[in-house]
Amino acid sequence: MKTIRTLIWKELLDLSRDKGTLFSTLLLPLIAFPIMGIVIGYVFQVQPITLAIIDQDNSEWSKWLIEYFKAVIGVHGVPAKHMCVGAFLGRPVIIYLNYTDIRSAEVDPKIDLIVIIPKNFSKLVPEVNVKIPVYYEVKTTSRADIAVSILWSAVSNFERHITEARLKILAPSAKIKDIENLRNPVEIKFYRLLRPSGAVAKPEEKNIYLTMMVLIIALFMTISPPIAFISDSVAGERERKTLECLLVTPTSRSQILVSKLFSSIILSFLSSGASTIGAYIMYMLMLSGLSGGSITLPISIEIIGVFSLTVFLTVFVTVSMALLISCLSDSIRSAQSKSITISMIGSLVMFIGLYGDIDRLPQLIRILLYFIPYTHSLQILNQYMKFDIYHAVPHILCLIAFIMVFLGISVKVFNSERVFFGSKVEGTVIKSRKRIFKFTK
Amino acid sequence: MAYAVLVKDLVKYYGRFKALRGISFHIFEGEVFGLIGPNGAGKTTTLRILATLLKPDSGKAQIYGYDVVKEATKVKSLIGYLPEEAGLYERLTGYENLLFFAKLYAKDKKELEEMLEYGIKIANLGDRIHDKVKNYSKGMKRRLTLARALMVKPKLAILDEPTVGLDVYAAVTLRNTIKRYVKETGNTVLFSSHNMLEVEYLCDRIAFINKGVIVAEGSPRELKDKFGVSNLEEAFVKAMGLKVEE
Repeated sequence: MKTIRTLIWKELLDLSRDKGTLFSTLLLPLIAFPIMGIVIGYVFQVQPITLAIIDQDNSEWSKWLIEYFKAVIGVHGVPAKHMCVGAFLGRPVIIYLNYTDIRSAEVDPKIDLIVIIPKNFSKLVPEVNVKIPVYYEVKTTSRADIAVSILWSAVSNFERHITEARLKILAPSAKIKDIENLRNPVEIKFYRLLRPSGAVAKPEEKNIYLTMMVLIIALFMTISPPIAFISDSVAGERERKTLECLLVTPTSRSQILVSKLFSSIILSFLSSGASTIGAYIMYMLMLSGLSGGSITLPISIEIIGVFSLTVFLTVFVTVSMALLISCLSDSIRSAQSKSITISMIGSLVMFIGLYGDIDRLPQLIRILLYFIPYTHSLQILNQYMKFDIYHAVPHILCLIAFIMVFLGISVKVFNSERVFFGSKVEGTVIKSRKRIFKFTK
Repeated sequence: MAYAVLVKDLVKYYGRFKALRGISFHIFEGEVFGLIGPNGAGKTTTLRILATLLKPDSGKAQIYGYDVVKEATKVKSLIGYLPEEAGLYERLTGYENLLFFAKLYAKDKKELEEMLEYGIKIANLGDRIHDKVKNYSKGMKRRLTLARALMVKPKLAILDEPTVGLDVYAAVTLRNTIKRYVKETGNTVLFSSHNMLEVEYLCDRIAFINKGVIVAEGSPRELKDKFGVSNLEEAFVKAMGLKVEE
C-alpha cells in the first residue's frame, strides 16, 4: 500500500501542477456549459416570432379573428393600433397589424408568417354550407413552426366561436337542447400517467425522459476527460523517458498500473461531476429560455444514485480502454488520436440513446451494439427510466466484465517488453501482430 | 572474490535481429566496469537486461547471485539505473523528484532522510533543488538523474553513457561524482561510454563489445598491452578490426 500511495502521490502532484488540464477539465465545464445554456436561451428570447395580419375584410368578424390571435399570445399591456406583443410557449411574439398590402409584408425580413383575411370573410360566416377561407404564407425560418402553431390555435378557437353562431341559427329547427354536445361530441379525459412498464407513475415523473436526455448527454461528456488523463500516463512516461527509471524501482508493474488507473479515476470523477453539474445547469437555463420556465427537469436522490453508478462504471471502462491504448501507443499524440475513436463510438451510442430505444432495435443490431461497452451504460439509464431497475443488473455486470477484460490485457501488455518500446524495437517496426506476440512471449 | 555481476552466453533477439550473440563477462564486487562499443553493439541491451527491463532469449545473468529474470524484484532492490536518455518529472521540483524515488526505496523515515540528503549532495544544485525541473539546464538535469540513481547507494550502479551530450565542465563534474561515489561506498559500477578518456579515468576493467559479441576484456593497461598500442582508442579500433584512414 505504501508504494501505491507514493505512486498516486506523484501522479496527483504532477497533475495538480498541470493548470491547463485542470482548468479545461474541472472549471471549464462549470463555466462553459451554463454560459451555453444562457446564450441559447437568450438567443431564443431575443428573437421574437413575428406575424403580420392583413385584414382585407375589415369587418366585425375579421376583427374578432384578430382578437383571437391576441388572446393566444396573451397580449401584454395595452396593445398599440398597429402591433401587439405577447408570448407563446415562453417565446416572445409580435403581431403586426399595419400592413395593407401582402408584398410589403413578404419582403420584410423580420416577418415569419403572413395571415391574410380575405374580403367577404364576414359574409361567409352565417353560410352553414361553405368553408370560410383564411390564407397564410410562411417563411423558411427557425421560428416558422411556432408561428404556424399560433395561427392554428387562434383559428381553432375562432372556429368554436363561428360554430356556436351557426349552431344557434340551426338549433331551434333541429330541436337541440345543448349545442355543446353537438359542438364537442367526444370528451377526452385524462385517466392516469403510466410508466413504460404499465405501472402507475407519479405526476412528477411526467418529464423524466427530459432528465434522462440531459443525463445521457452528461454521461457521454464524462468520456473525454479520462481519455486525456490516461492517454498521457504510459505513453507519456515513455515519451518523456521516465518510464525506464520507474520500471527499475522495487515496485511491481501492476502497482504502477493500479496507481495510474486510480489517479485517473479520481480526476475523472471530479471532472465528471463538474461536467454533469455544468450540463444540468446548461439545460435548466436553456429550457428556461425556450419554455419560459414552464418545463422543469425532475431530479431525485434515486436518479443521482443511478447516474453516479453509471458514470463510475462508464469512466472506469473508458479508463481501462484508454490505458490499454496508452500501453500500446508510441507517443501521447498516437494514444490520443487512437482514443478519439473511443469518443466517436461513445457519440454514436449517445445519439442512439437520444433518438431511439435500443430495446426496440432488430436483434442482430442490438447484439452488435452490446459489444460496445457504452451501450450497457446507456441501457442502465434506459432501464431506470423504464423503472425496470432489475433489468439494469445484466448491463452493470457486462460493464464490469469489459473492465476486467481490458485491465487484464493492459496488465499483460504492461508486463511485457511491448510497453517499453511501443511499436518500435531499436528502429525495427513490428508490423505483424504475430511478431508482436512472439516478441512479447 | 565474489561476483557482483555474472553474465553467461546471453542472447537477445529483437524480432529476427540478433542483438546479443551469446555474450559472457563478469564483474567483481567493488569494481568499476566499462562496456565499450560502437552504436548498435548491444551495450544498452545488455544494461537493460541487467536492469530487469528486458528478458534474454537464452543465457543467464545474475546480480549478486540473483537471477535477473526469476528474481527481478530482489535484483531491483540492489541496483540503481541511469538510462542513456533519462527523463524527469518536469512539473515536479528537483527535490520532489528525489523524494518520490526515495519513497519507493526507503524502508523507514530515517532511511528516507539519509537518501534525500545524499541525493541532494550528489545533485549539488544548491537552492535550485526546489525549482521545477522544467527550468533546469541539461547538465543540471543529468546531475539530478545521476543523484536519483545513486542516492539509494545501490550495490550495483548501472550507468548508460552518463556523460553523453554534456559540455566539458558538466561531464568532468559528473565523472568526479561517480569516482567519489565509488570511493565513498565501495559499491560496484557498470557503465557504458564512447569516451575513452572517461573509461580510462574511471574503469578498473573494461570489455569491448561489437555486433553483440565481447571481443576483448581486461584492465585498460592489459588491453593496451594486448593490442600493442599506447592508448585505449587505438586498442578499441584494433579490437573492432577497423582500419583508420591516415
